[in-house]
Amino acid sequence: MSSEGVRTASLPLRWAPLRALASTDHKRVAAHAVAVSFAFFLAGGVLALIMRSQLAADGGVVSQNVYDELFTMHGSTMVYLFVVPIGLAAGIYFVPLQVGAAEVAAPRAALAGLWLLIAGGVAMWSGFLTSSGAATASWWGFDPLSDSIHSPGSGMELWIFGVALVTIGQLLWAGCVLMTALRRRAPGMTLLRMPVFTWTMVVTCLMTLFAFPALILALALLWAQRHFGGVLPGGIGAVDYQQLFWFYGHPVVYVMFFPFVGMVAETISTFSGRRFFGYRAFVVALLAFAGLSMSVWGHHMFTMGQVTNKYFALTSTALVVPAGIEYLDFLGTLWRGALRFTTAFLFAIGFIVQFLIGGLTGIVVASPPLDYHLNMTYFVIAHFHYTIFAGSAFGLFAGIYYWFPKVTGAMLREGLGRVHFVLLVIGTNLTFFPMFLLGAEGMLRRISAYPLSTHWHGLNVLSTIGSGVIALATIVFIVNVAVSLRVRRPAGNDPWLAHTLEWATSSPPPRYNFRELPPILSYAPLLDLREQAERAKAPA
Amino acid sequence: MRRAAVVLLAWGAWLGVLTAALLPFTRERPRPYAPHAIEYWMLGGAAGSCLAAGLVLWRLDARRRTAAAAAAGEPPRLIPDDSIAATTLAGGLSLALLGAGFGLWLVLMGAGVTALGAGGLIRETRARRRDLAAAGAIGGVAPRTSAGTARITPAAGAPGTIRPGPGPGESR
Amino acid sequence: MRNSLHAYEHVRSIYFPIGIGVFALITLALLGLLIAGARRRRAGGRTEATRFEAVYALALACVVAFLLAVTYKAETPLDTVAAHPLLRIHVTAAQWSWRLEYPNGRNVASVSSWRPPVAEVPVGEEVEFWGSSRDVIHGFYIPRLRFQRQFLPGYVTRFDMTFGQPGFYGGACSVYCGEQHAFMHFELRAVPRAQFESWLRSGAPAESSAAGSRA
Repeated sequence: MSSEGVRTASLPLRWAPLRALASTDHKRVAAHAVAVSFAFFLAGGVLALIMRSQLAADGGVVSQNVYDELFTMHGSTMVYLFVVPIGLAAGIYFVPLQVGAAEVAAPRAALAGLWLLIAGGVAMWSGFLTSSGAATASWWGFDPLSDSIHSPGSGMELWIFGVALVTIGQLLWAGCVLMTALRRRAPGMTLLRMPVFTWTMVVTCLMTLFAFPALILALALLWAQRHFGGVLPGGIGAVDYQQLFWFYGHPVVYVMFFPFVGMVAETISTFSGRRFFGYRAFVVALLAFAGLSMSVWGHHMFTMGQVTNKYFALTSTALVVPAGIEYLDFLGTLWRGALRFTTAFLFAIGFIVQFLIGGLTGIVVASPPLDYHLNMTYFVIAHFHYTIFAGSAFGLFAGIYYWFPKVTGAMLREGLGRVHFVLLVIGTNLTFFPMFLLGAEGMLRRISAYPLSTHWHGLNVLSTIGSGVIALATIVFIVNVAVSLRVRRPAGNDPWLAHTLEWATSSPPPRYNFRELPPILSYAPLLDLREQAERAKAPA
Repeated sequence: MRRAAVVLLAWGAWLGVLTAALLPFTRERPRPYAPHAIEYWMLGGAAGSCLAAGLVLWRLDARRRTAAAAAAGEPPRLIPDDSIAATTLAGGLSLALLGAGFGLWLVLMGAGVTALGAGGLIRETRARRRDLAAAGAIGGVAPRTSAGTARITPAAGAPGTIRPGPGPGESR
Repeated sequence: MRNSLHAYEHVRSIYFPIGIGVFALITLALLGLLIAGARRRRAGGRTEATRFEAVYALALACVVAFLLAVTYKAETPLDTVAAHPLLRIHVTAAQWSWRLEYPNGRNVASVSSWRPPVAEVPVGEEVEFWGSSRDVIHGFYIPRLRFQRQFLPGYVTRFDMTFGQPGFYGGACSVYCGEQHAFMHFELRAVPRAQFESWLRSGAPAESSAAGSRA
């Protein structure tokens, strides 16, 4: 089979840069999306550094109103513009490769999603350029704080539309990736032979497709309330907005989790040199976990006294069961493995330990009697930063160090990678662990200042130092990428002796991904081939 | 391929179970702590639409199985290389939505650009179908098209298909 | 008696040790696997252990059931409201102030301050709060009692609190409500019943606690 067909001339797009921007090659679309998302990560990170300076310096760095813009845009950027898109983009790049397809399904929709991400992100951030500043109603945009009386000004409008645009783009991406996994698999690739990462992307897309529309509805109602009134009346209207918002708002944090679980799974099985343990149980756990995540949203509203607290406590605590299975499978994959401690592997181990802290503290706040104290405090901030930053972002770096050679054809430097890892572990724990203590003492979130008599200053200073270490670690990473691209060390097809199909083609893959596909007999086809070759060589 | 719908059907059913699990809490008091209609609607709606999507996919795959011969395998598919129309559509949609903050003039401009993009998408799709039909007749050589680049991948057997390399024949 | 502090401490005393124990167990297991795996040359091991996983899932479900039993038992009294409270205080929150109204008409208002005027409450008795907001959502939060409830515009939120020990109970707005959110504090002081009654009749706001309101 050859993918060198007859190239036809394209009249409107002779200009190469334009063709690059309008390219529907899923690998290019995804690479651009990752770059855009990472840029937003850096921007959102700068906002966090400013906030941390304010909290360590006993106020006075920025005004109250600017501080409100900072935490609104930090949260909004990290959720809507960084973690969600980068996870879905990884799916756009790797799901077609992992299932042996030549292209993602509906590639033009994928391209449209990229432009919606850019347009929406620019719209949200241009709030900073308006006279009334960026949106200040937090990343939830909750009513009535976000209505026209309490948040007048175009910053809020730009936020509403920006979020709507990126969400539409994300819905398109989820559709593309899901359809690819369901209907574009190569012959021999049954559902239960799809790699673990592909399965994590399938459940990510399921949650996206069936939960994200609730956000679009919430934003539409909010916009109508701002312009016509009467749509979200009084207190009950405020509750309804949050019902809709959190129906999206909880699954979205799992959309920010599962792709990176998949990256960790691929990484540890490759660097263990053995198949992923408990594949079938893991698939069932993923589906159960994702379904449960659609039913827990009310736990964000425990202290309102307006939702079925006990039901949501039940579903939220029940998450322990699939999460426990997933952890057992991670440990099982390390069991009897011949481990190679590459940077990717280190980040995967970091994920396993640190996400556990986030997950267990999640079970704590899933209990209403505990949440009645801890809600809205720094305990919750610590909990979700442990899951999303100490967890998912570490998983993301595992995926980056693992797949960078495949995408670029060059290896990342292991030495710099280890420095990055160590600094990030120190920085992350120094920044976020003190927040558990602060929250338990009642320090609330979204406050620009606190009285010194609370004795919270010391822990805040510690946390701020940690944020500086995170910034340093990020700089080391950027240097690593720059150096590795400048002075290339060629990667070859499969530098890691990996298991899945993306490693059966060149680095980077050609336009239509595969010239030839190996036989697909399990979820680790390349490992099967190697073992087969070994058995053939061994004396009978 | 039919099995693919199983994922949607199973997940939709699980969401249905979770919706039903709200029922035992109906007698919680005080009243606000009992389930509200919106909770049933949202979770039940997700369950229902997932099941519906699964049924649609099931029917689509069933139809494909009976209509095409097993030997023909995957129908040939033309893969675009770029699409300025998709970019235009996204840009137009963005202008239209953001325009709501600036005035009707921008909304209308955005709607116009969106229409341009949508028209472009239709044009590209039609051109692809024409090329595919022509390639089937001629046998592997794509004619010129004016609607974006198209690439056909000839292979042994039906043109425009991608086949895996040598290995034991496996059915889906 | 509805004591949110006791409820919190009781549930916490079960959840936290379990959480720390699970974390320690898994981290130690991981460490062991990493050390063993670092030295191994050839990988091996089973790929599936379905029966074991099923039993494990069942065991986890039992843990979940236990945690829920503890949670539900502690939660029910916190969510219900007393039929005949000794005292009912009406609280109105607004951007960025609190107003507490007592049955005899006495008001204590705190406006955007970290040293708000002190309102007194009787110690050891069930005090019912009826709260509402004049504008956006606010949160009535007393860290020392480990309890908060959100106040909505056009709706009355009802809950009980018991101030077990005499002393100062500082309060803050827990739900982000705009620019002065960080300064929206209030202060309560639990005193013996007789002292509370005389304060209620006197009409003069009590002195601020000089040491602030930390518990």
